[in-house]
Amino acid sequence: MNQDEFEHFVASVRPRLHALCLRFLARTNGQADAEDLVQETLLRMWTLMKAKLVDNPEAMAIRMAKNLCIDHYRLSSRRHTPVQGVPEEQTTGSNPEQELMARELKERIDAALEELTEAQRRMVRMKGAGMDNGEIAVVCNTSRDCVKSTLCAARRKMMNRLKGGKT
Amino acid sequence: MNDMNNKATRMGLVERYLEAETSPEEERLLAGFYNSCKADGLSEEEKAVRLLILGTHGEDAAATLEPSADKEQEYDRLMKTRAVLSVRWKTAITTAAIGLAAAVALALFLPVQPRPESSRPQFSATVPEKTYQPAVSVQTQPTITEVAEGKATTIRMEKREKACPKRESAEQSDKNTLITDIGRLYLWAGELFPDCEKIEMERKGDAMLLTTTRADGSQRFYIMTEDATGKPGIQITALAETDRQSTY
Repeated sequence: MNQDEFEHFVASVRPRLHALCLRFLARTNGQADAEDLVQETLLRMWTLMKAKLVDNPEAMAIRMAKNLCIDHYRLSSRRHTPVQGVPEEQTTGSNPEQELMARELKERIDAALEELTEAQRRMVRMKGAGMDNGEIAVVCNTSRDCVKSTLCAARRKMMNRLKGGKT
Repeated sequence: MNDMNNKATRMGLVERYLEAETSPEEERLLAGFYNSCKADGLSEEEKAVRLLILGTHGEDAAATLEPSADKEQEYDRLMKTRAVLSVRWKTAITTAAIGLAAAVALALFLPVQPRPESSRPQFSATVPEKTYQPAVSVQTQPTITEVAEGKATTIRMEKREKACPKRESAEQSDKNTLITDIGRLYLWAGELFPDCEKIEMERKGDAMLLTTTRADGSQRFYIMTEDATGKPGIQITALAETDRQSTY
């Protein structure tokens, strides 16, 4: 899958995803922005499509968006704020020392991510997942320059936080 | 990877990383290097870079999860339930709005019409027969000779206080406008001319023209005015008589 194919896919499926999420949030009085759910869906779709795990991308995107809507609904019902950060797999080490280091790493990264805006956090995640600036721009419906400046600001801010918060 | 061991090359790449100018391949290269090297040999600056890259780089485990069919069903069920509730609310609100609009429309387009003078109920229907007592003092029906043409006859109201006590205050304040009380005039006229089939009255300035019609069709005309002496009463003066009915 190249960027043109992904861009074409996003252009075709984005309106449907947005309408689906918007309708769900309206019905459930959800506080999230529909665009956030759409971008999260597209990020996951990009990962799956890049790994060539999808036969019918549009149908998969709809299912993915519904899943995310339900996740959001459950989290809202529990009044729990999701923290998107380091994957859980990095917190499990083969021995206690590695596990301790991984936990410490996760806590520091989470603290640094907390200082970012929602858009910055999402772009950092997309970049970490392997997307280039052009693909992020397609998903976020913005320009490459905007992606670059947002990412730059986010990484600088995290660097300062990690240096200052070092124990 | 060998290039990554060169600190100057590595720091140049790190600078580009912080500027968000690196490609995904270059970032994977950096992540691979910092994942394999020990943190002890790095500067404080690089230790922070290492934390940043290792903490944010890597496949998102959540993103690789296949969507769940259960969640999809829950989504459909939730939307369906909410939709039914929404439709019920909309129906109730619409019904209430239509009802309110209909009530307003009726109030606007069907106002209470004032009844025309001609459709007023007859005096006998508005005054209960039991409470009615003649308010005039005449004991017998006046004849045409008694109320001769051009000769005034005065009807006094000695019995009025007993006849209509409920209307006493109104009469006291309205002594000089007896002629305007059509109902009372009809009452007097009915007592005065009991054998007449029809009694008509027509206002003529300060006076009232009284027309009586008998069973044989003959008509008599009288003029009714306030008593000139100022006492409460009506003066009736016969004007003319016809032998058959005619409109005056």
